[in-house]
This record gives sequence, C-alpha cells and structure tokens, in this order.
Amino acid sequence: MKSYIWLQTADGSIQQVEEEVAMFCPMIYQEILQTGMGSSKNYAISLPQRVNPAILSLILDYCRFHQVPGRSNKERKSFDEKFIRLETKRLCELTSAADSLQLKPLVDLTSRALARMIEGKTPEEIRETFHLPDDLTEEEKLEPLRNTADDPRIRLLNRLYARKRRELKDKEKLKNVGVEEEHVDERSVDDLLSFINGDNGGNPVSDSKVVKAAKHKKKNRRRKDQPRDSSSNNVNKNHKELDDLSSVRCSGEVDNILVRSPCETSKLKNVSDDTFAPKAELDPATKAELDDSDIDDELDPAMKEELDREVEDFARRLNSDWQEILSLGQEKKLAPISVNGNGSLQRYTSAFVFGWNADNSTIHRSAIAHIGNGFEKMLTQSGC
Amino acid sequence: MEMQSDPLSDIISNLPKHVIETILVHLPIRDAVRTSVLSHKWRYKWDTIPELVFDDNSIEDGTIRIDKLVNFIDRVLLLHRGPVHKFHLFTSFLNDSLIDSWILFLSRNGIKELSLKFQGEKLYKVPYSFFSCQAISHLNLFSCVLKPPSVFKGFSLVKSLNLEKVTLSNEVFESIMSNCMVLERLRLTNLNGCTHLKIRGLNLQHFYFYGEFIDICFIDAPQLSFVSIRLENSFFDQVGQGESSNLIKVLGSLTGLEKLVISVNFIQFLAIGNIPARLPVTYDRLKSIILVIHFEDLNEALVMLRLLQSSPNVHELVIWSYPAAGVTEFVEDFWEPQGHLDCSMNHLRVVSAYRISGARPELQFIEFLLINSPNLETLSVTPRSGKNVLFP
Repeated sequence: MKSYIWLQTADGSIQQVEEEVAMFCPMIYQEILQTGMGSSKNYAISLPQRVNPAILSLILDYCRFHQVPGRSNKERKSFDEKFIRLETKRLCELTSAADSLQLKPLVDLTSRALARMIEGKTPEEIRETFHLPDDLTEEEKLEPLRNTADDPRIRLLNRLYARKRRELKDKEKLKNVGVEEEHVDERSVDDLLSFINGDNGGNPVSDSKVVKAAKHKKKNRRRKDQPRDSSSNNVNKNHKELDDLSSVRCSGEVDNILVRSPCETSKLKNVSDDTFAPKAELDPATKAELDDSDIDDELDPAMKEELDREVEDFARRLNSDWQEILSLGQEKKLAPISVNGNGSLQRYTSAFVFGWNADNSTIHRSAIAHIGNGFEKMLTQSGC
Repeated sequence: MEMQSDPLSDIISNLPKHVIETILVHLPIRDAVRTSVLSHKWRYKWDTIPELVFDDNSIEDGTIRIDKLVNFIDRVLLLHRGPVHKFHLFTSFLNDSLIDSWILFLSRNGIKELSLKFQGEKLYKVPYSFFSCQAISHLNLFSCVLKPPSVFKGFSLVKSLNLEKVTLSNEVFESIMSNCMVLERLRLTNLNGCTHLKIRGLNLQHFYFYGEFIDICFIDAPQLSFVSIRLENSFFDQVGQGESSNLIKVLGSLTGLEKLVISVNFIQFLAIGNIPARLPVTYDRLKSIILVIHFEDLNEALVMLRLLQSSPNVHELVIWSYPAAGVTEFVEDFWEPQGHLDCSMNHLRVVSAYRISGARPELQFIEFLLINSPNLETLSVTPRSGKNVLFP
C-alpha cells in the first residue's frame, strides 16, 4: 500500500502525491514532521504561494526522478539537462517555487540555466529575454559604469558624461530661473523672420517680454505636437534643431547666415512656414497657454526621449562619424567606436548631442554639424 | 519602440535576493557586473555577490593588459558591498602593491576561500594582512612567498590547504600545521625552503606531496586515509639515517590508510634503515596500493613485501616498474616462488603492472602474486614501450 501526501496549492486545488516523492522537498518534509499535516485531504499541506499547480507538477517530476537512490550521476545529469529546457517564464517560476520549497539542488540547476541565458548577451538581448523595463534614467546611464574596461574611449565618454551632467543641471537651473535666455532666442528668430518676410527689424522691445514668453511656449508646444506626427518627425526635428541653432549663434548675424548658402535659407523658410507663419495670431492663442504652466515640465522628458531616439538613429547611421565628432572636440584620436553593438553606447550618443543648446563648447558645435550636413560649412567658418 | 514593459512579465527581477545571487555567481564576473545596466531594479543586484573570481579573461577584447585587469578588480572591490567569501585570482600579471591592498580589503571582509595563482617566474610575497584572514577555510596559493610576522599562529579554521611553488621556512610550515585543528586536506607541491615536514592534523584525511624533502613524519593524523608522495629526486640522506626504518617512522602511525600512493623515489626513502621482519601495525582499511619500484633493489622489494603482508584487505595493486640505476643491494631471486614468503592476499582482486620489461624479478613477482591471491580477478601487464609514461 503506497502512502500519499495531500498538498494544497495557493489556488485552493488539492492533490495527492506519493509520500517518498513529496518528502524529497525539505519544506514538505519538515511540515510533515513538525505538524503531522498532509495525511488526508482535509489536512492537506498548504504550499507557498509561489507554487502553482503547473509548476508543482514539474517539481514533482523532478523529485520523482531524483529520489530514486540507484541512479548514476550520468543519468541524473542527463535528466537535468532535458528538464530545464523550458521557456524563460517557466524557468523563473520554477526557480521561485523551488526556492520556496527549499529544494536547493533544483534552485541551483535552474539558476545555472538562467545564468546561461544571461552570459555573453548584450543588455538589450537580456532585457528582451526577461521582459525587463529599460528604465534607467538619463542620469543613471551617464554614470561611469563598472562594466567597462579602462579604455581611452570609455574614459572620453566618462568625460562627456560629466559634461552632460553639468548641462542637465544647468538646464534645470535655466527652467527655474526664467525665460531670460529664451528672450534672446526669440529676438534673433524674429529678426531672421522679419528679414525673410521683408520687415526691417525686430519687434518693439516694450511688448517683448510677454510676447517672447508666449512665443517660447508656443514654440515648445509645437515641439510637443511634433512627436505625435510620426511621419514628419525627422523633418520637424531638423527644424527644431535648426531653430535653436540659429537662436544660439545668430543674434545679430542674420546676414551671415543667409549669405552662407542658399540651402540654409530655404530651411529657414520652412521653419518660418511651419512654426511661425501664423505670427499675427500668436498673442491671443498663446495668452491662453500662458496659464497652462505644466507644459514646460511635461515637455522636457518627452522631448528628451524623442531627441534620444532621433539621435540614436543618426548615430547608427553615422557610425564612422564618431571619430570626427570627438576629434573636433579636441580629444585624442580614437579608433572607430561601434555604435551598433552596445545599446548603452547609443544612449551616450543621444545624451551627448542633446546638450547642444545650453553650452557654447566646440564639441556641441561639431555634433550639430552632423545632424544636418549643410551646417558643416557654417560651423567650421564660425568664430563663436 | 517600447520603453515600458509589462511589469507582470518581468518575474526574474523579483526573485529572492539569495536566488539572484546564486544566478549571478554562476556568471563570469564581467557579465555579473554588467547586469547593473539592465534596469533600475538590477542596478545594485550584483554588488553583494559573495564570490569574486577574476582571471585574465575577465576583461574583454584581445589585448590583455595588466592595468586593465588591475583597474577592473580595483573598481569591482570598491563598489562591492558586504562580505566577500570567495576570491580567486588567476593571472599572469603581478602588481604587488595593488594585490596587497586587495588582500587587506579581503581580510576586513571575512574572506573564507582564497585562491591566488600567478603564472610566471616572479613570486608574490603575501602581505602581513594575509595572515590576519582568520576566517579562511580554503586556501590555494600558487607562486607565493609566505613570511608571516612572528605573532602568526596559523589559520585555525582552515580545512583545505593547497600550496604550490610556495616559499616558506620550516618554522612557518610548523606554525601553520600546529594550529589547524580542522584541516582535512593538504596538498604540497614544489615547496621551497621546507625540508623537514611534520604533518599533523586530527582531522586530516588527504595528503599529497610532490617535491623534495630531507625528512617527513606524520604526527597525530589518525584519520589520514589518502597519502600520495612523489619525490623529485633522491636528495635525502641515503646513509646516516640510523638504524630505525623509515618505513615504520613515516607510515607506522597511519593505521587509517585506505589508499596509498608511493610514487617515484619515495620507496627509496622508505627503504632506508633496518626493515623489520614484520611491521608493528596492520593496515586493515588499506584497499588500494600504487607503487613505483625498482624490482632489482632488495630493500625496496622488502618494503613492498612488508606492506603487502600488513595489508590483509588490499583490493587493488598497481605497480610501476622502472629500471634501477645504482641500486644499493642487487637481488635476483627475491620473489622466487619456493622462497616461503608468508603473504596471503585473500582480497586482492585487481592487479595492474606497468612498464614490465620481462626481467626475472618482475616475472617472479607476478608469479608470487598469482600464487598468493586466490581471489584475483584481473591481472593486466603492460610492457615497457619506450614511450614516456606518466607516473602517478
């Protein structure tokens, strides 16, 4: 007469298992010894929550095989190898359940299998295998990480991270301080537009503060709208970047810009069409937006993300341009960095380029050069 | 491009900490550290793993440079939190001052299993902080110099000790030996500076030696079940050992022996002194004997005979025969069947004889075995082939 142990899983279902198989699990074994439970259906042993019926069935298969004393090591190893050929989710559930039942050999076996799935893979591959969220913040990804060997490229990137961190901090400050700098931006863009549209000068200074603030909001709002429009994403990004570029550099140098090359003019024209065509309508429309003070805060992460993605695409395409970007920044000459192999490297690229707005350093200039080829000439000839 | 993943499907990140550590410990250290970029939850999962194993492959790309490996280890140790129970370093690079600081770090973090293995000519002189690692239970040193401070009293918790190409004096060895109550396993290979070995250990079970000594003895090792000794050369005193037999001196107290390997040159050492007519002890548990012997040498033959006579339960015998060069006493008919050599080996089942050249003593010995082993099942004889044969 075989004796059976009754086990109850968290969902309420009860099943009976041969005694010697169940006793192979230390947790069940102890439960029987200490409480005497398990001998009948009414007194079934409650298994930990992490053990569902499907997983329990797997675990019992494992126990049923291994509790037989006469098996050779070869047999056991062969069984184990076949046993862990499960899909990832199952494997994780099995590890968790085996751990709650204190079945150490099975925990070791499954841990090794999970380790094999991690070893040698890139972070993206691992995230995909285990459905991990890619949720490290911009800042965290910027911190020098332990996973890199001490490599001149990595040291350089670390330096760039530090710079990027500083810029992010500056950006925070900027947001808090006010719209001073944006006024400068506004004015120059307006100058440009006036010139293009045939006006003579900028707007009267007296209105400027309110109008400029409104315009800034308006501009940001446009940016927010643009990501939703996926088809023209690329184009809009270019213009966005062009906007800021001109605003940074071109206060008072409207002539120079237009003289440089015809293609830039056309681009500026596009900008004017898209962003500022309804110039006359700005005041009433944006007055309403002034009340909506959340826009700015919401925008930055979304904007960052969009820019990140966009620049990642660029970076991928510009694999060989890495070296140029970096050498233009007066860094050491480096071997070309593969931008495709390591996702984290792509992140660095995006962060690196994003910071172009707040700083006048050479590196950022050079980065901008590679966003739109037409700018190259303009930048190399600039004296700023 | 999905930035958010269904949190329900990420179940690996919520496994208990010790389980995650088990997984990470099965990864090469580089992969374990890289898990910090996977996601927010994984940022600091790796830094409490209790085992750190570094070798020259721990850093990527083809060109291994010492500064790369050294920097990597430095940063891993700096970021690590909690105790480090196991630390292995296998490298062909030596940077004394940095390794010293790592040992200091380990001595403050409860190191239990320590392996330092250096390839190359230079030896690593372990720092004083090494000797304060009192929690050490498993120690493997390869290419090191041990010079402890005078206050060093040994490692009281060491269970397994493996020294290879290590320079240490007799006194240092003695101080280690005299305080390891729980030592179970001792392996010594190519020691330098240690000429008189006094092996002791109430719990010692396994002893392996390869190298040179002038003298060896076992004190208080009742549980010793495996002994394997191979001598590099016969620099020990052939004469002037007095009257007492080395065989008795060395093996006389090891009544718990289960497997005995008398490898190259050791039987010569055992043969020194007056070999008695009968050994004072019997090795009831001795099941397996492996001997490397010159068949032409009388004293060596006597040693083997006495051993066989005192081991009634021996199950397996493996003999490696190799030619004598300058034997002390040459004998031809020692194993002659008519000579009444009282030796019944009722439990002998398996005999393997290697490098047999067909000389008379060898063949007589085989006959002797056949006569005295009623239950012998397998006898395999492998002739000397002229190729290099590996001795045990």
